[in-house]
Amino acid sequence: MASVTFKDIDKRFGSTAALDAVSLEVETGAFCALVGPSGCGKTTLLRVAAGFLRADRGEVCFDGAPAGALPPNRRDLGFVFQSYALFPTKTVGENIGFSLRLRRRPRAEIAERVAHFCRLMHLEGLEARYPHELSGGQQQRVALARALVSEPSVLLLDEPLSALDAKTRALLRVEIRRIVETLGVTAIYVTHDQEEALSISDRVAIMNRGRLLQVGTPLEVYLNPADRFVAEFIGTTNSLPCTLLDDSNVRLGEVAVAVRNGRPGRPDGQATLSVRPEHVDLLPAGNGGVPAVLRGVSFLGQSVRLTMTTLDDRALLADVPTVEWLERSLEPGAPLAWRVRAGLASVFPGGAESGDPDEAAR
Amino acid sequence: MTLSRAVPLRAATLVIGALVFTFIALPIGAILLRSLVVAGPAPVGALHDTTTRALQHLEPARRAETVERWAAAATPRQRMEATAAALELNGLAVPWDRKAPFDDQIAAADEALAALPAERRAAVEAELPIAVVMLHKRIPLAFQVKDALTEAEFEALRSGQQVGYGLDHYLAVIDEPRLRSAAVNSLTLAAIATGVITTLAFLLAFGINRGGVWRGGAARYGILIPLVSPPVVIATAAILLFGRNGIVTKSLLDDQLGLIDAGVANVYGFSGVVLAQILSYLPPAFIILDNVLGKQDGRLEEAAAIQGAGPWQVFCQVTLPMAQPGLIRAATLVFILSMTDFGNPLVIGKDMPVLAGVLYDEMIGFHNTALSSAIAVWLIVPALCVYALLNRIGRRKRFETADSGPPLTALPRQARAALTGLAWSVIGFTVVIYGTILVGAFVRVWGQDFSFTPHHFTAVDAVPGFVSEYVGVGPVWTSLKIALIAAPLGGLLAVAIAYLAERLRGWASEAITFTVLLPAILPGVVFGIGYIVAFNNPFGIKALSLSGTHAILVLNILFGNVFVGVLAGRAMLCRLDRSVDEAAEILGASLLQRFALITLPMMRRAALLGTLYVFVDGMCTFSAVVFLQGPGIDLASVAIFQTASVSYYGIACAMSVTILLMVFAVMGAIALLNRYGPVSLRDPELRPRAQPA
Repeated sequence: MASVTFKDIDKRFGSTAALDAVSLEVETGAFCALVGPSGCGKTTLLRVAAGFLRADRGEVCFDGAPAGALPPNRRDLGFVFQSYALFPTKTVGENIGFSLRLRRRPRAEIAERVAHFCRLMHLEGLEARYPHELSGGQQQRVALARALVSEPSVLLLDEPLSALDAKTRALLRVEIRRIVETLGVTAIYVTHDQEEALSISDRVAIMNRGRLLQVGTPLEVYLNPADRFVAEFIGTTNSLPCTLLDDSNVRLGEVAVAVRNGRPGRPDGQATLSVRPEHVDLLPAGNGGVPAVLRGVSFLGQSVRLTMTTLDDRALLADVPTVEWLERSLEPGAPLAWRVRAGLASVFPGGAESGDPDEAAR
Repeated sequence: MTLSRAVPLRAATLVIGALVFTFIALPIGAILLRSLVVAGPAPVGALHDTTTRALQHLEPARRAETVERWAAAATPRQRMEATAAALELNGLAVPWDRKAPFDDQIAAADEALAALPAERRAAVEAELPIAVVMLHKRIPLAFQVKDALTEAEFEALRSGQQVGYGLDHYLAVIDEPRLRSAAVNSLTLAAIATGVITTLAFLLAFGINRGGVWRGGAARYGILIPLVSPPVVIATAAILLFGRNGIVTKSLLDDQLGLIDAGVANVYGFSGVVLAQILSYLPPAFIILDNVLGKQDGRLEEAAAIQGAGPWQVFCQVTLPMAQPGLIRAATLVFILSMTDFGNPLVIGKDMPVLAGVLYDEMIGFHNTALSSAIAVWLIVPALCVYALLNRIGRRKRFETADSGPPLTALPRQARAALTGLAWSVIGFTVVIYGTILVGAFVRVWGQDFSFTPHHFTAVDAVPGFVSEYVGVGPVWTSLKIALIAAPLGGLLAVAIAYLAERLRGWASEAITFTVLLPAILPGVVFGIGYIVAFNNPFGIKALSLSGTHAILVLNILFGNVFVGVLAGRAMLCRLDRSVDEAAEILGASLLQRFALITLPMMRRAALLGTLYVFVDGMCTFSAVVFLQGPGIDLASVAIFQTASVSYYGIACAMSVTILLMVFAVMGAIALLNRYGPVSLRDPELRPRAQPA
């Protein structure tokens, strides 16, 4: 078990900066998710940690000791690849036991450890199979077992679930978390799927364009995003133009709205209010609040997502629990009003134009 | 990339790079250099310097005495020539006609000397003795001081020649009528062969890929049979069928029906060479076009048909233009093969000299490496021009389409009938050719005595009194030995090169890949002569000479064919997941372990293909090894060519049959191993799939 520290890492590929002064501390035994849109540098950071790439500047430290030019196999790491990267000419058992065989461990010990990990990963009875005879989920379990069999201090996972179908993904997510907790290994998990990042990890690091934007617990980054990009990338959010009144109040159109975590800024300055759909509180029209018109309704199961227009035709999404919606049942075209529930919104400086997170990533 | 990770990779690249450079780039560079070497009479000034330097090596006491004795012994004619040289050495023009009868010249020389001012005359006369030595006593002098001279100095003094660089050998092909007419023959032959073969190959590939040929899958294999053909096997069979004693021309048409005179109307000559080349070079052209047409997006043709185009319009407007890059490649390949072929013209061409044949004579008969090198370069120039020209016409079109397979719409009935007839005629003729060889191996004297004999295969003379250089099929065993050494090395090396090139990327990998591919476009003749030039006396160190050894044959065959395995390996590695290698690395495998335990097993198919290709070529090729085979080493392919070219067909057929048996046996063994061998040896993709749980 070891802590991993990235100190001020720069990495350029030609003229593009893949990593720009990234510093991150992953504590011993922590499960940290690196999340961001594709091309944000998260995989590059992982490969720097593994030693597949050398940073142009900065240092990776394991337990405080700089890794320097240490080759990947001397860093005491396990690595799980997006494509599984199983050896196609070797059986499941041979794949899992490969690193032990290279270390010339006794035959009996290899067999015992391979059997142990097969049990742990629910792979019993598949030892003699070849990778192409397994399902995708089984292959990734083998890859995980192979990475962990030599009991590394740190496990690096590079989008391990992105090639799997949704159901297997959800199942394996839980299992990876269970195994990592059982073995107590420090894990760094790269994913572009923010939902996966929130559900699997106890720390989330959000990256964009080679920069680390925010590190925190899943709840922190969801409720208290550091900037507009994080707010829009993690979960779903409405970005609306507002004017800053003071630290905890903004003006939306004609209406003043209380927010819990406004950012200090110049009063009367242009700002953006970011509010998640489930934090939009609906009111009957004319009862105060910001006026809006209902445009569409889509049923998501436990909740109903309403599409509305507010503030001169700006789109607004609101999620209403299905049981509540059954009591209202409005038709598209109906006038409404809304407010921010319990001040659960963030305010960021600057206008609300180009609110598309994909565009921001470019 | 961290330093410590890169070291093994760099070291391996260096080793592979050095091998590839030494055994591919160096011979090719050497041939270019040698083709420019021109030897001519040294000018008097240079000769004077060489001679004076050599005289310094004589003991001072003997030096003056020797020169004096040689000068005194000069005949009047030698004195006259020395006078002319001495005048030139003093910067004076020779005032008499050097082409006049000697007696007149001798008198004129004395007069000219007398007419000079005293001072000048003394200077000229002072040079006379040395001029006599340098013109007439050079060779005795050279041998007297041989030990003190370097080999180059000795050679320069002995021959009186000066080595320079020039395009003379290249110009000779244009200037000398003998070479020029051979060049014209070569170009005509190549143009006709290219036209016929490319058309034929395209029609066959088109027919097979569009369901226009009955039993297309089997036909594909049938057309490819001549890929495994010992040299001149087709020309030999053509002679046995249609030659002066041919079973069709002589036995049937002449003796039985009296329709023709087989002594006059036979396959020898231009048409025979064309026929032999068509059958020999159809398979490689077919492979290229089969690949191109098999990968065409069939939906395009269906789309054109739905838009209202008739089958003929679809063919001309869609199919043909799409196949254009493949057609260009096939045509260029056939052009090179035809230009550089000397086996068929020498065996069946008789009175039609071609440039490649002249090269063979110059090399084997006269060891004229410089002229041979220049001709070898000339042989590939037209093909490169053809390639450039065809590409210009096509404006370098490249078509990227989805790989969806051929269309399902059927060709018109007449087209199917015609294509089926064409394909199966070609295959039928191929079968007849191979059948003829088989029969020819067992009859005593073809055309005269058709009685059975096994003695072409044994060390006993099959025909008493018929003296041949070769008895029995012994050379086949030499060939087998060489091929069996070269083949596995070639397969292994190919995969190693492919692996490094794929892992490394960058300029070093580009350079290695490019060099490895050179023998694919350069004909065997060039590669063979290159080996002679480069390794006869490499870097002036005689101890490194490979001439006449088994090693030079193994190396030539190996490096001449390694590209097939490299191409297959690279294609395979591109499809394989790069992270598999990284996974092995992070689990603790070294570069060598990764290659041996992970990459090699995954690329077994490429390694096998590379091995097989080197083996087949090692058994069958002769255009390169014919120049490299040393005394005491008899390769089957060379023996076949030589026996066939002196009309001793029984032995040639027997050796061809033995080679074919061996090659097909090895191919069969590999196929069986893949299907029924131990699981760990089988191709994972061919392994039966277990029921998923």
